[in-house]
Order: sequence, then structure tokens, then C-alpha cells
Amino acid sequence: MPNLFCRPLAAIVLVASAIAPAQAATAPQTFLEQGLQEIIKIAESNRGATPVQLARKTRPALERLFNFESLTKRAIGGGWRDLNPAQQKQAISLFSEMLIRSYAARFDWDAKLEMQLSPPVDVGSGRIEIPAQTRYAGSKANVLYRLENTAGRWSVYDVVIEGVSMTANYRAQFDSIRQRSGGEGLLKLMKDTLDKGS
Amino acid sequence: MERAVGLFVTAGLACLAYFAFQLGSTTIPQSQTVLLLARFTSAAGLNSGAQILIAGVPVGTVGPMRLDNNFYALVELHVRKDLALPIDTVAAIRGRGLLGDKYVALTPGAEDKTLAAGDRITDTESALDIESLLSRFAFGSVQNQTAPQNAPQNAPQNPPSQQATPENKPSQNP
Repeated sequence: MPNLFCRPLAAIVLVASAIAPAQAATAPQTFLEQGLQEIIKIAESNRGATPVQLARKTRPALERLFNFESLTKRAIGGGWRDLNPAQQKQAISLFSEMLIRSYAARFDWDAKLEMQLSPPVDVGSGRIEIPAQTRYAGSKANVLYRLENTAGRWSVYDVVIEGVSMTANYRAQFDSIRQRSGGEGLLKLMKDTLDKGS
Repeated sequence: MERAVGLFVTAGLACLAYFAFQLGSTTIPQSQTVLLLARFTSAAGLNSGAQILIAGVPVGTVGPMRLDNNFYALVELHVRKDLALPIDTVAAIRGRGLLGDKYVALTPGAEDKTLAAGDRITDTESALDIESLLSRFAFGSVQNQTAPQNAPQNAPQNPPSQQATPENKPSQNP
């Protein structure tokens, strides 16, 4: 059962990315597709790499596709305001690394990702959603990419897999941690998690 | 005797009416709410009149729902007007257990800008299709059918020709 989520998730992440320098003029669907292709290409050219190594290799491309600041802010939710600017910066760094590594750890070099993107749906306020159907390592999944246009640049700020939003899922988890241990405790937990995986 | 039975039935009906009124009174009056919209890929199981909760506390009720032009469910949410909900608030359809009623859970975000009357919540999570997930679990994935073509033993990595695909077409290793 967990594979239903894990495998498409792995694909997605590897997913991410990248975009051409003239991204502002690129249609969001092309931007997304090119980004995904670039990530997969990087991952495939690093066959056998450890999750940490793979995360390091794919990060630049992922950063072009994903807006990690927005993603972290959404994942932490209301607790974001309790963090000072230095802590917010640290949170973005830790959360993005945690996210990339967790997906990198699930990448399967022998699996093949098939993906069909549907036309974007405008949801207003400079945001769009691109539905996709994926098949990865034998599992099919409905994926929804949420993109926002900030200063003429598209970026992914959330991925919804089979109805489960990545940021909402983390927000629920982080909320309870933050209530127990505060913002500092949340950052420490993220750091400890990363240290364990190093 | 007949009069006693009649009185008993009347008293029963009065109790029923009282409890119905008490339950109904937990609904927040519409004059104290603001209308927000939320778009879901599926609102299955959610009914008009269902509760809207933040941290388990009722803050409104679900209004009518309809289909938008893209066949998504557009749901009206009547939420307490004194709440300043950030624009990145997440609206999720949740259930009280597997068979329980559905409700909308709001999780406020971090943005300073807040939702105004008539605004649309774009960050949503639809109702989980448990049956679909269970059936996949019960009947297995498509791996077995695709394995012979997609993952032969000792297969080399996918050739580059399989990687480039046109937009809107199924792509391999995008």
C-alpha cells in the first residue's frame, strides 16, 4: 500500500525541474515538462548514487522548478511567523534538503516513469494547476502540480498525489511538533533527521 | 388510556423538536459569516450544511456546491467573518472515521494577506477515495502486467530515444 504513494512520489521529485533561462516566456506546461525531464536525466546519469549525492546533484535543477521558500512557508503554516528571519532561512534550507533527500532515497533507476500532463487550469491569483497521470514502477497515480507565477516566473509550490497535498501533509505534522516543542524544536528535529541520514 | 398514549407521543415529538433545535442552533448564523469558495477535484460525501472546523472548533458551515467549467466541485464555505484567514489557508475534506460524516477542515497558512469575501481557496485537498485505494491494494498494481515489457531482467537503462516526448503525450522518463 505505501508504494502507491512512495513510487509516484519518487518520480515526482525526481521530477522536478528545471527550466530554461528564458523561463518567463515559457508556457507553464512546457516549463514543468522540461523540468521533470531534466531531473530524471540528472538522476539517470548518476546511477547508484547515494540519496545525499543524488540530492546534491539534482538540487540546482529542483531549485529552478520548485519554489522552496513558498513550499517551506506553506508547510510550516502559522508557525512561520514565529520564526525570526535567520530561522526562516534555516527552515528553508533544512526542509528543502529533507524533501529532496527523502525522494532521492526512493528513486529506482530500473523503473520507468510515464507521465501524461493535461492542460493547465487557471485557479486565479496567478496560480494554475496542471493535472497529470503517472505510471511509475507499475503504480498509477493522479498527480496535480500547483504552480504560481511570481514576478513573471513560474514555480511549483505544491504537489498533490492522489488527493494528498504535500504541503498540507507536512503542515499537519509540523503543527503538532511546533505546539509541543516550538519553532526551535521543529528546526532541531529537521536537522536531526538530516544528520541521521548523512 | 388513549389520552395517555397521545400525551406520550406528543411529549416524544416535543423532545425530538427540542433536540433538533439544539443541534441546529450550533450552526453559525449567516449574518455572522463571510462567503468563501473552495475548488475540489472531488467533493464526494460532503453535504451542504456540513461543518467547517479549524483545530476541531466549528467556524462555519458548507453551503451549496456546483460544478465549474472544468468539472471540478466548487463549494461555498460560510466562515465566521471575524477570522482573518491567510490566503494560503488549506481547505481539506475530511471524514469522521471511515463511515462518518464529511466536514471541511481549514488549516491557516503563513501569508500576511488574508482572504476576503468571495475569495477562492486554491489550496485544497479533496475527499480521499478510500474505495479506489483499497481496490488497488486488493487487486494489485499494474506492475505484473507491465513488468515483461518495462523491466526485463538485466535490462539496460532506457535509451535516450525513449526520453524525449511531445507535450500532452504520454512520456517515458520525463
